[in-house]
Amino acid sequence: MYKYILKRVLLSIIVLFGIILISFCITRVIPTDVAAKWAGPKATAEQVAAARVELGLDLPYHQQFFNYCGDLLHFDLGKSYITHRPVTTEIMNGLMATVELVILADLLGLIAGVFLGMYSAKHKNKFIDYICRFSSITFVSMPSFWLGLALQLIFFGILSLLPLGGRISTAFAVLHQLPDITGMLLLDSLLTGNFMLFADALKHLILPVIVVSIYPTGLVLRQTRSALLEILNEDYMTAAKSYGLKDRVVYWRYALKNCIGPTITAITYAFAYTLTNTCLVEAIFSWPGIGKYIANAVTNYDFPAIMGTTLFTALVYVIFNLVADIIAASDPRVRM
Amino acid sequence: MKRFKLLLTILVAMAMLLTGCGGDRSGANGGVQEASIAVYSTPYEPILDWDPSVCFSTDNSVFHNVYETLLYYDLNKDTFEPVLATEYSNSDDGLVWNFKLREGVKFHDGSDFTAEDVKFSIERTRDCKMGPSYMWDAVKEINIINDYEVELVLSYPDSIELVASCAYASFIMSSESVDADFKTSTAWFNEGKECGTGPYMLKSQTPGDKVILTKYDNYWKGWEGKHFTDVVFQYTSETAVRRQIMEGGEADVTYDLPALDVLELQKNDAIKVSVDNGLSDIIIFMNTSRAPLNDVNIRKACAYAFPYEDKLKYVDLGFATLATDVIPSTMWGANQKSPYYYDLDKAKEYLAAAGKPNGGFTLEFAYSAGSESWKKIAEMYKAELAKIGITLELAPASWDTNWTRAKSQNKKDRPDFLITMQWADLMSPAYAYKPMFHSEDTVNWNLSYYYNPKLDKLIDEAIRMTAIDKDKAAELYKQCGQIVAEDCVVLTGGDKKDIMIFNSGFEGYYHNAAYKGIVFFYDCSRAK
Repeated sequence: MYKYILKRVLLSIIVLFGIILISFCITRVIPTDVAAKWAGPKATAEQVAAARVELGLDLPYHQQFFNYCGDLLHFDLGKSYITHRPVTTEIMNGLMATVELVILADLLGLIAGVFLGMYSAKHKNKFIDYICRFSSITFVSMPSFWLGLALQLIFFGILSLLPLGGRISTAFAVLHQLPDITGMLLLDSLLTGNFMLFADALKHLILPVIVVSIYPTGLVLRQTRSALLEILNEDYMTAAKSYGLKDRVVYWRYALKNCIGPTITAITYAFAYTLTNTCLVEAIFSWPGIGKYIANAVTNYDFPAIMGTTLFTALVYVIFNLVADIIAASDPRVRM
Repeated sequence: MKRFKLLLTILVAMAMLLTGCGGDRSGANGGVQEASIAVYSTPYEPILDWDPSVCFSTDNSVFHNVYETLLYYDLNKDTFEPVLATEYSNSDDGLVWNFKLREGVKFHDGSDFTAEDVKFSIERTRDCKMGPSYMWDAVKEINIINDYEVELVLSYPDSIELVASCAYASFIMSSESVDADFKTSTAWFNEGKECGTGPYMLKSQTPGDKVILTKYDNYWKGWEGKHFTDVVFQYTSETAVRRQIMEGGEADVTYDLPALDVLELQKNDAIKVSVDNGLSDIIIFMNTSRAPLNDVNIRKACAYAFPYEDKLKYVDLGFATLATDVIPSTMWGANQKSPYYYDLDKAKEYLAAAGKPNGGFTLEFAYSAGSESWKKIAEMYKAELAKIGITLELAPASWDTNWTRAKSQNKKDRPDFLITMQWADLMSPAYAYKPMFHSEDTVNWNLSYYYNPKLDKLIDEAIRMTAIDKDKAAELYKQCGQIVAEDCVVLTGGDKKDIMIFNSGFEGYYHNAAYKGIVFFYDCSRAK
């Protein structure tokens, strides 16, 4: 087991190095004058020349690459060409806002998906099953920006029940000092016992969480349903039923336990996916997260930010792949 | 099934509980009204760079509420009003400028505003070689006469009053707080620090999200009368969401909404839309460095084939006016009529004069990918050129790629047409003539590759005269415009209007195109 994990970790490091190399090459090939970007929108030729030296772009490429790798070892991803702030700081700034959103959304997705998948399997080919199957396809394929705008229109525009966007209301941000412990407002407000902030942050989370959660919900629903259907036909399930065990025990204790492995794998991947693909939801809900930062970096050709976020995305996938594999390996059937 | 019903009940109950604790919308906004908080919903990040010397973007709308300048320029009246400088004078040759400074002004860090700070701020901005720093290039030395008087000595005549009142580069910062070393101090600023004299100071910020300012109690104008106590700059990129924010009364100000949305909002009683002449225009560079656009007759044919009126009608939906010169008509020194208009017969005449009566060649039109309005312009122009036998190939790419191609040493790489949006940073026609039409050693902004020694001389003379005799300078700039029009090196796509959208209760905004998109919140208030 440990040998297996060690091998996977080593392999991951090679993958990450490859990604650094490729993203470095791509950003050097694209025809863009990054020095002009650094110097400003109306940079003079003199300013651009000064910026080229400042950024080390006058050095040969291999030298630039070694410098970049050297900085990486100190967790220094360089400075954004647009904001002139360190990329590492900017990623960390946005990260926790997104993590808060994604954890809640995936948790909701897992719970709702397992419940619905269970009902769907239990009532196979009945009306409720058709509804669940239809929704799972709808959930996975529905464009998140459309759902986001529609929910905003209903819950803000028509019903005036929920806020339009942001993490907290403007008045709250102006009138109160916000705690900054973990960067996750719900957790921070609980840690500091500030329940007004908790309620305010929670109501701002509802709509974006729903929108982000539909993808994992659909995924988990389908996974759970198909895994359950397979298991329900097994002899030991028939045996369990024939012992007169209650449905609840049969489904939740015997069936679910046996099929939860692939579901966990699915939700792990979904977590990595949602963590790095929330840009549209974040743009619509004015959520200052990492997804919006990635989107901005790409549209602005902000190379240090693009390389930083690419590396970050790769790291997230590598880690979650590893976690999924380890979870899968903890199932004795897989180890056999 | 019973269990399913139970589950459903729980879910519904949870939903009700959550929305219950959500409260109503007035809960969020009611507080805003009471505490007199102004909210500016910005389409771009409120702050890109906190360094006042580097700031060269829409983030100056925050800066002008935190920092102050020596002078304020009113474009509508063409007058300079005192801010941190109480009076100023210049020598007849425009080489020495003397500023008397306001006494009793304090920076947010508590230190007194003196001549030392003016010298420090100007030198720091001039020497940082970033953003708008080139505006101070003429300044050779700054002499401190006494605590409240400075003298700027220039190496060539320049209109320093325009730089000192500019929307960029002109901010005065405290020499006490800012480290002399630029690298140290720019990093210090970007931790989210400021040290201005303005009415508001930074309370808190979330990068990429919002900036919250709160009133500075010791502001030299005092806080008598109606003023906002706090100002929030909230970044919302999505136009559909920003429109909802305005309609729902969640913000007081926004701008940069699509023309269709603006037309809708104009019908809404709760919204006030201000539409005024602005200082930005569409300039389409023509590549004079290679055939076929190196022939002035072909360039003129292209100019007569451009659908000027249709573009205003279908792309701008009326929120623009016909261009009259290569600079916006609102700018002083602008000619008030363009020699070019849409006339395909004239275009054909010029084609014939160039020896290509039936066209029969292909031109490439580069524009920024993702810009719907530019795509529309390109397509409309393509249809018109097709009528005179010219094929237009559309080349959408990112602005950076387009600009890099245009700056290429290899003439073959350069596109035939490059569409750009130009905006006045300095309130002088020099903002356009110097970078776009003056000869340059390496290609940077003169993207028509147009080199005319006679025009160079005229531009230099106009810049010099601005400091000495502005009326004469205006005359010279008009001549410059006529030369550029005669040689026909760019197409002019129209002057854009400045559109600002306000909550109807918001009062005190004064439109001044010299400070585009900037709301001086100290002068504003909300009607009850």
